[in-house]
Amino acid sequence: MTNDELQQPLADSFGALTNLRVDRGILIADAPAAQLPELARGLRDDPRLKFNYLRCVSGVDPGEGKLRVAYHFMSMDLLHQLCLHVNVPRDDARIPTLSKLWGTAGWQEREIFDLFGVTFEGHADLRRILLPEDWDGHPLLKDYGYHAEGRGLFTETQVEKGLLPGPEEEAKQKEKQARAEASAAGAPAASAAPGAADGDAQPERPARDPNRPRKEPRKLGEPPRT
Amino acid sequence: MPKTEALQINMGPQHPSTHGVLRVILQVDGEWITSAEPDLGYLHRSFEKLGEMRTYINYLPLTDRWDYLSAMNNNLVYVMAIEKLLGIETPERCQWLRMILSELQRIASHLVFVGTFGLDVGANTPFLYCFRDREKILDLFEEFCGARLTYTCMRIGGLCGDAPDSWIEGVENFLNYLPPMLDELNALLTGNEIFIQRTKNVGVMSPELAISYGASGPFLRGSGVKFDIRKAQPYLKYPEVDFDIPVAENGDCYDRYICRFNEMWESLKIVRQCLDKLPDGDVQAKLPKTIKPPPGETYTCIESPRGELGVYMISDGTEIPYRLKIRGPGFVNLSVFPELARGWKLADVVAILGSVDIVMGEVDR
Repeated sequence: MTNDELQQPLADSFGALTNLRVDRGILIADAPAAQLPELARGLRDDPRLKFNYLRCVSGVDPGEGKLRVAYHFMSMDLLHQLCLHVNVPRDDARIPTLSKLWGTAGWQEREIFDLFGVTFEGHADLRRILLPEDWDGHPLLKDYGYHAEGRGLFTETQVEKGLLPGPEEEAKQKEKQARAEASAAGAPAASAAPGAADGDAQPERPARDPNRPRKEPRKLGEPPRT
Repeated sequence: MPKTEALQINMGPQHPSTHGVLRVILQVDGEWITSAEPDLGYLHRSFEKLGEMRTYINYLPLTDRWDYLSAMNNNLVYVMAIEKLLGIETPERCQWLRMILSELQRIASHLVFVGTFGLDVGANTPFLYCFRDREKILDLFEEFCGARLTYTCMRIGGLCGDAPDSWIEGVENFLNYLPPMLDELNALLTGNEIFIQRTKNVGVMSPELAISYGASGPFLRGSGVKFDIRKAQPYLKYPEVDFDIPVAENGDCYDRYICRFNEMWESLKIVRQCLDKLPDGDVQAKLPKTIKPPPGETYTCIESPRGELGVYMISDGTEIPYRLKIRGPGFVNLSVFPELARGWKLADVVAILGSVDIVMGEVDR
């Protein structure tokens, strides 16, 4: 079924799905976390839809104090697909598990628990899967940072040995950078390019004089011009 | 009366048959497996986090390292996702060349599978034959893009360069070279009594179990489910070529092997048709100066040799992806392994794990 044809049965039987939209050919809908298992079961068992294949479960950190899990469903018989977005508050990220309906949700939810810290309620074996069990934090959150001292491999001993900058040193570097930025902002506008923040805006170049003679390109074997 | 006791055995992380650094914690009762639990993460390189730190162009060489036995397909799905976000079409010649490259890569990857699977169940010779033939494909790739394993060959909107005529000739020669070699390999391994005994009716997966666990690729088709993304959600020029999807019935290790073996014949068929239909023209689409896709998201997937390789990409309008999720076929296929291994003997675990055909680079990411 095409995306337009899908909208009708979804609107008929799945009123809990809101904000239906199409992005790059895929129908997306928002689903409330509490009703997710019933919705998913309905999508799977409805003879008009037959979403029998859960192809991908992804976590997203959209900011604004939320976390999102995106479920991509596919029907192997009818060859249409649907994406469900489930948004939950970040400080209380709980979603009922789908692992009782699809075995594949078991590992994919573990991965999201590992990297985003979303708790899947009712999951039989919710543990970290890619990172070690004693890892601190959830790396794919946007505020995790890229250089996380004291986490996992970045241990204190490595900082002590001078292999990695410690927290104090990093704070100093940040301060230095902030000072440099402040001084750059205070300097005359000529040094700070006006369009630097906006990558599209190119500084204007003078138009080329059509009568200016072109330089002859250097020939093979000719010594470089100075 | 003899008494047996449950015993825990570690298989891996350094074990020749785990195809990389995979640790499987096995509980055995005598010779029988009561539970098998894979322990992942030894090769975790945080590709998804790295994706949020680099521009779209800078990330491309990292895609080679997801599944290092089919780097062409990784390149392909990544650039296809960006092209979908940007909304650009690639030129005809580029699409046909991409198809040739990804089908050759499929043959190369399946040759590695056939070789290592034979090795897993005790056949040493086919491994050498397979690697000899795979070498020819790597030579072709080297001629095309200069690299033998990590190609970065497909670029956003095109390819790293056009195929010279000599290369096309080389592919034609290869198409004539491979069939007798495959026949030989077939005679050597497929009909081998020991091989059949080790794989037939071992690790049977029902179609319902396979679909529930999201299995894809030849792993799924071995169980009799005729589902191939090249047919179901066609990309590139697959609707314009004629090929079959090999499907088996029983869902055992032997059937999964047969599906992969027959896929090589189909890939040869596809490459031959691509060469016939290859048009002249440009291979690079016109691109904006900076790659800044408009905000939005896409889930793009292709049929890689191991199954459905997907990329879920979210753009926030800057030149760095907001989120890059990799749906690795190996990771998803491996999740059914505990179900398959339970109830079989210790030696069968090696055969079952081999038939899943995992590459740890893409399982751990």
